[in-house]
Amino acid sequence: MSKYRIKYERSEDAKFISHLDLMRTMNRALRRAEAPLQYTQGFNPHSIMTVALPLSVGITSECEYLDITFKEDVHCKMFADKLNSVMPRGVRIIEIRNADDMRAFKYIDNAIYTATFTSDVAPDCKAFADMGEAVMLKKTKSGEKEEDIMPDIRNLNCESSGNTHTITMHINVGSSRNLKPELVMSAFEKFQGIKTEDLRIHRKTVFFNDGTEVF
Amino acid sequence: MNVKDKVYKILPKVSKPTRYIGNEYNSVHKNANDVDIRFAFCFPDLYEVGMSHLGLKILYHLLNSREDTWCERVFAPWVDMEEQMRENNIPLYGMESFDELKDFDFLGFTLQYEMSYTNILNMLDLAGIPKLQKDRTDGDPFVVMGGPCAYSSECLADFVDYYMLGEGEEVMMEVMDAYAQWKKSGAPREEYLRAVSKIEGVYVPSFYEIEYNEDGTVAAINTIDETVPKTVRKRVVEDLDKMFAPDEVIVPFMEVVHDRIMLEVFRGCIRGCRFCQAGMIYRPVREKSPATLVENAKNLLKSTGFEEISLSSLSTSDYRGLKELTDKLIDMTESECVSLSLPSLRLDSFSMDLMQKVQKVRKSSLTFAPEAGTQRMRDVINKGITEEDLMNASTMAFEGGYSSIKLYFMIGLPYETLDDVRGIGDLSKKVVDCYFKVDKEKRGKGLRVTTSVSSFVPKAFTPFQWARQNTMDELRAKQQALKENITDRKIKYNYHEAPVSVLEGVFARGDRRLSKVLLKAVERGIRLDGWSEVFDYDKWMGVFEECGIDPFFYTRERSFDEILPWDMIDVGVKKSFLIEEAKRAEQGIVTPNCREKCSACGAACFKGGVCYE
Ligand code: SF4
Ligand code: SF4
Repeated sequence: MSKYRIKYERSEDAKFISHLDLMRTMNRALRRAEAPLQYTQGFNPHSIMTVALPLSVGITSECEYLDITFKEDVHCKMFADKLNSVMPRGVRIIEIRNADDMRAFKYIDNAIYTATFTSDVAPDCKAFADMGEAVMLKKTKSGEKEEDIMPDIRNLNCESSGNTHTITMHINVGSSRNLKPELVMSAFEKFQGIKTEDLRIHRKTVFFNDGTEVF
Repeated sequence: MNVKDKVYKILPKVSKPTRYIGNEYNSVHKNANDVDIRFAFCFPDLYEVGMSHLGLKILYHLLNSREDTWCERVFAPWVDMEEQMRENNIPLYGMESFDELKDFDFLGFTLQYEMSYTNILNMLDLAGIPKLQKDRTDGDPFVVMGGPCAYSSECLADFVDYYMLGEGEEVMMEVMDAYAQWKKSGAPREEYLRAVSKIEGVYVPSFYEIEYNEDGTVAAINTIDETVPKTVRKRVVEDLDKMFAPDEVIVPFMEVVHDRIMLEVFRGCIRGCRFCQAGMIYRPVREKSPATLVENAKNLLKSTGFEEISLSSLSTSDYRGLKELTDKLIDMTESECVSLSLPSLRLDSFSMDLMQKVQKVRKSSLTFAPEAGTQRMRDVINKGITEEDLMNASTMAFEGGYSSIKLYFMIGLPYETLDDVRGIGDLSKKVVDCYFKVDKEKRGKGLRVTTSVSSFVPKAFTPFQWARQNTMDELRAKQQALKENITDRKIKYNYHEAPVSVLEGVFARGDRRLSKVLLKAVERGIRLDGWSEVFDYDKWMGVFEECGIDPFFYTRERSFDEILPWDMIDVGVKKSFLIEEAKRAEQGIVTPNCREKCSACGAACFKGGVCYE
């Protein structure tokens, strides 16, 4: 029995698929690729799959990860090709590695996102950071509460070309502290009066708490 | 901005956006420049309903197997999406290409139930295509229809270019061939309709004129000239083993109603229950061989990755190859960690065994459809189930560890009395008693009997097509009487709302004059009538009034010699047989099923299936 970590990309064509639907989609793709899936015992056998950092609907990503348990070993490169040949449009396998000795997803801690949009008003990252605090209404399991999101923003960078702007944000994500990039954008709307048009948020890199990239 | 960009912009604002994006595995993407025919398969309901429909899967892949054709899918948008589309001027589009429907050669609608008719007109409206057939001109797509309701949907006759009656696997290819030829010839639009009207199974309503009597009944059905056939006979595929059956089907992202492989084991039903339209219009029964099905199942599992296979037919227990098929499927599914589900089984010892074998999971509930509460009533409707059958089956189920049973009944049947209705309660109670007679050790815990009651709607091409439909008041009185008769707390009583049934009955036996009601209804914003949160009976009644049409004209009793609006259609089953059956119903005489004794219903004209077994 071996654990494998699959790195894949979700592009525009797949950005509206919900997290649960994507899990089902991956499961079926793995079955089509005749993966040696290890199933749980019992009444309702299912494969053993964990997804890192569920992606919100509407966001694209070039660094999605899932762990899957196989009952026998596979050749990573060959299996990745095979899996790619049975993937729906919009989801592409980037790499597969054996994950038996890898750090678990629960150690994921921060990530970099980009947000691209058009707006007449240009965002000003420095001014944003200089505010010192940015209190936003945050949705939690038990309802909504006001919270300062600034401590969870590690770095912000704004670039503009004409009225197209890109904000690159390095923020805390994961099981301990989780800031959503959408909320950062709402903060820009709130504090800088930016009305974003055609907003596209994209996940670029995911890091563990020791600062290393997942892979 | 192109349609796709516009759609992607509004999708964050709507619920379940995957309904509208396509791109699922096994969906077919071609280059529009490489094909001559663009076909939009339109399912007039939501994605999750349409994607559960076997006919869509078959015809989609069949059409796409043609090199000259690209078939795409279109579904009705939910309320929030429609609002966004209208607000942002987004036309209805094909899900694969995101091209607007105006660019297509065909819009093909499947008619599965009457309450989806308004969705069809609303979809045409969203597509910006003229709804009335006579208003469409060169460059507009042809609007074609098929499916079980096509035999008697005269209320849509003004909107459709032609209907394909019966099974589409063959006729669809023929009308496409004719189209390719016509397109090349550059002849006027009508020429294509002329050409297809000569193909068996194709009904072109604009070639027929209806005369009415003063009392509103049909006086005559005339063809516009001699070249048009007086009646159109449905198509059936004679040999299902040789028929096209896709070896791959689309794998939806979102969970749809039937999120699994559906194996169609046979078509038709031998039983002839008198209320049942499916039992008549799909005659004669034709089966696929277990070998064909196993092969198909193997290929589908490989191409889709689905984790469940379900057998599909009107009455699975009547499949003669059931044992062989299930033995082989169980072998196959066990090794691949696939589950097998077997709906529409009659509860006998064989099926109990079978279910024990395939159901490794928790024992779910079993269903049983006696349809009526008393033996007299079951004889009237020719439902060959006795009280003893039900008691035996229930006992068997409880002894096998089941503790939950669902019972399906109808009220509003012809010749029904309040005693028959109360009989439903009595029968449910007897099932409860059955449970307590079974050894405590054996039976499962927590008995639950669910009694579900729907309202009968008389349908065309059944022995009850002449019957009067119960009024809303009658149905409500019956629902109430039954409610009072069900006192046992172990019984959960469910019933369908009467107003939808009444309206369904109007359109099920309607004529062409109802087309203006449909037009007006859609103008008034009526659609999605199959969804109780949207359905609005009073709004409908307002529309009937505005149009000066009495809906209850269509739910009245009719005499055997009245010309019926669908008399130009021939489903194989003869009217004389239906009349005979209607008379036997009145006398409570049962008719044997096709395998016990052939009743010469007329379907033998198709030269195959059970009639020649
Ligand atoms: S068993 Fe009766 S109700 Fe069921 S499909 Fe056959 S004819 Fe219809
Ligand atoms: S002709 Fe006889 S066997 Fe054939 S469908 Fe009719 S009743 Fe059944």
